[in-house]
Amino acid sequence: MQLCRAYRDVFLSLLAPQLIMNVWDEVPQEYIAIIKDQLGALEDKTERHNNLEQIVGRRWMPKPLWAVRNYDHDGIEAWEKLSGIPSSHSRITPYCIYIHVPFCRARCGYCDCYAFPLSKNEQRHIQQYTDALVQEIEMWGSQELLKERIISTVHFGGGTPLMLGISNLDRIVNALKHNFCFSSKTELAFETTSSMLTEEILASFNQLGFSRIHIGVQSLQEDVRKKIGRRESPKTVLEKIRCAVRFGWIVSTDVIIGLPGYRNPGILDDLDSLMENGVEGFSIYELVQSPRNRLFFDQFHLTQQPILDKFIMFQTAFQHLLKHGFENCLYNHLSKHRDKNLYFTSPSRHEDLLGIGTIADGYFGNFQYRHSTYLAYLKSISEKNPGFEGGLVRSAAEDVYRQLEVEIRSGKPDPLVFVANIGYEKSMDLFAKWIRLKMICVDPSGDSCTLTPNGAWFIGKLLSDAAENIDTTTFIY
Amino acid sequence: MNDFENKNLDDENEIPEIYSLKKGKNGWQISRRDFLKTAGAASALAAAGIGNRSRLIPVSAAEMNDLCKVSKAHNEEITAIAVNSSSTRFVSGDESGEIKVWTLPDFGLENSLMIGNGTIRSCIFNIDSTILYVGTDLGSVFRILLETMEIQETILTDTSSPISCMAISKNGNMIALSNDEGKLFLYDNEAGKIIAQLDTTDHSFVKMNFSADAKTLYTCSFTGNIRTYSVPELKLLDTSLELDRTITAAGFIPGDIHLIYSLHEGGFVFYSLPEDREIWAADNPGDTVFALESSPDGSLFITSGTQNTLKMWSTSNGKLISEIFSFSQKLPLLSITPDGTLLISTTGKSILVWSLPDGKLIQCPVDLSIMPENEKAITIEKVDEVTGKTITFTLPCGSPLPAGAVCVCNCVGGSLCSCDAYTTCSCDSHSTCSCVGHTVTYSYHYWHPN
Ligand code: SF4
Repeated sequence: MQLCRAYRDVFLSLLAPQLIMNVWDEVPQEYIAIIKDQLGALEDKTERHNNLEQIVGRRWMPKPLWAVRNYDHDGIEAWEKLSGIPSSHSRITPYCIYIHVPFCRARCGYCDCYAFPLSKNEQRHIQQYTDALVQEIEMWGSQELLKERIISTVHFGGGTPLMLGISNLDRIVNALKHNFCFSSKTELAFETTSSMLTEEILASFNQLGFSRIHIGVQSLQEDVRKKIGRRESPKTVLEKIRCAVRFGWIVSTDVIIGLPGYRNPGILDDLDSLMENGVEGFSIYELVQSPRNRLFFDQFHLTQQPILDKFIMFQTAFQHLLKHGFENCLYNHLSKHRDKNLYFTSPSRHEDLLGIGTIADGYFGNFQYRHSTYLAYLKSISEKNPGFEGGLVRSAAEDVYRQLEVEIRSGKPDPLVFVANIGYEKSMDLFAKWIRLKMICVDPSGDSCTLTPNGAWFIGKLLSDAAENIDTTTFIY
Repeated sequence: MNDFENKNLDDENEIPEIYSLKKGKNGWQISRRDFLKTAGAASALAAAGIGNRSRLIPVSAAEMNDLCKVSKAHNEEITAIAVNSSSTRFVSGDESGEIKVWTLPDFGLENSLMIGNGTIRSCIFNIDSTILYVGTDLGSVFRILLETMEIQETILTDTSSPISCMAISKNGNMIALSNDEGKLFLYDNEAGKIIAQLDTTDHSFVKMNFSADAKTLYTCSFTGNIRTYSVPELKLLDTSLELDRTITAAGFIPGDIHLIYSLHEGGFVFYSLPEDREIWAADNPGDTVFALESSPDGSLFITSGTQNTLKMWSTSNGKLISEIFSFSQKLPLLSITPDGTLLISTTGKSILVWSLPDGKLIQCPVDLSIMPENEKAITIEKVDEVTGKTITFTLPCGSPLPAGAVCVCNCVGGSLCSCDAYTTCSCDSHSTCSCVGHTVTYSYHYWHPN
């Protein structure tokens, strides 16, 4: 008799698992119906034996096809092959630049970026690395016609680019301006922690032409900040944001779902404070485990966080931003009009990418290259080489993947690009499935569609769906 | 050329709306608006279960396909299974005549034995799980000591027909054996010998069961007959049913006086033996059931048939409760552990295990010794919902992880395995893993955005 009851209870809970999740208590009433609607779409009727936790749990980011094979060329050969390719593109085609700075004041436990703190040789490393960047910029500058193509944006990422100091960054920007073609619309942006930010930096970077800043606020909740090693008080962080906004900067920040103890209403309170203080863009993503943050995951038992809880927190933050007039400008970046996130959205504009610095990736047309890790990079540059680890030419199948990937990641997949690449039937199947699972929704105009919070969460699933439809028989490893 | 351009679009009137194509000045064109409209309509149809795009194949069936390709429990197709009364041991036998004993609930492989007397057709544990009886294709029955896996005795030899059905009495004293020619044998466990045998007119039995007091034996035959025999004399006491239809599977409901049998045309009948009457009949169209097991409390039964779907039914009214699992291949054998926590089925050389009552697929046990030499394995931890204990088990590299299990290999999804430097580790720690405690080289980012 008891067992019979157990069967019934579990069966009922399969039908309405959301009713027993207390994470719902943290979701404002106004978002509950829409989030349940999103969740309900995932409860595929053909998967009755699965519960939502399992469905929501199936989430990971596949690598692009070309990233799981060997290079076609080693570093030096790749540079030789690349010579001339950037210049052969139309002179008016813009491209963007990414510069990687792998230094940080201290290593944050949760972070999986390629970045490390500097020890007592800090100044020597900084100098060496600045020299190397300038040398690489000059090597690229020797590609004559590259100088004539307009730069849409220069994005300094890391790490914490400010670790280089104002004068070194000034030197790098000048080298860029000297070697490449800046227009009045070229946007200079950098990523930073708020602790490295000062009024002086904001003012002088303004003068250098920087106008967008992505601040790693991570959380304004005292207890969470303590756990993740952020020492500044939330008040100071907000003051700095206000200051940047006063200077005319476009400010964006991250919302990281899965930081220890970071839940609602804290997440929504933070979003409100940041919005009130002028933040115009938010990148929402889930903290994922990697070898770099494994200890942090262990320390705070993060692998045991229920995936459904994270999914609901993600959805709540997303809905909150949509309610406040933010729109997807990328699958997981919601912004107001001024924040165009030019670097991350450059693939949708079909721009090439000139990556500079250790581990930076870049591509011109279908030629992809990647830089070496720090020491190998410095060594290569000192030998008058560009510091590449290798390069490859994307195959036809990889090119198709690239096009579909760009569409999906843009947050506004264009069905016609799918039809042109994988044919009508497969595209129709994909879009019908994604609409059914509420991964995408057709915009009110009827002419386009947008990734929903479901789609943003399951971006990896959309990418692998797309990859499954590509004929890779011609794909040669 | 795109495939929509290849369509035969000669007659404009014949263009179904679903293609969202329009004839423009420059020939057939597709518009985003029409495409999205069509996709929306197709999705609504699929959600409603209409249209050729909807199908009842769970997403996980694809994973299961992969899993079964690599997760082999036997070298040959599995042909017989049984669970012991305390739900701590499971035995599986195969076409080659090999049997394997597994510990439950972790499905660790405990022992194996090649009997080599043709395909294993049936097996059963004695009550205290010290002895295993195994019936073969060549008509022999072996008594095997579980502790040592020694064949103690051949209690029946070469009856010229496969021993396909066995039953043990509640007190464990009597074992009924039957072959495919309809011959019945009664083995006295204490005396250690066959004490009665009978040639029946039934052609092979689908199920046999002793009454609680072990004084009668009920048989249900393929030829549609339900009969009662006295024990130990094996005298026919009653013929409850003589159908002129084939019974393909049957299960006795605990209490021993009711049974459910399935008919070849699909559908079931719930039958009361004391009352000699049908209590209800239910439809199961297009699905000829070949395995039927009742839950230990008798409230539910589970079937597997030609639709390759495991279905859960209510015993009280024959209503379908849910479809637990649908697969691309046959799931010919079924067993439910007496404690009601595991449902076990087989497909080909693989064993599949679900937790009950929730019907979650949790394991595909593997015999690592029969995996190709260079096959890697992954280690998984799962908290057993029943005992609360953490179970560690090993699956071949690349297997989907059972629900609720966590991969504890030192690998990181999306990174490159150091073993070959080109394979991307597909471990997301809870649904798939392709790495094996390899150390992995971590690839820093996503090839733009940096
Ligand atoms: S979070 Fe930012 S500051 Fe911290 S280690 Fe990562 S890149 Fe450096």
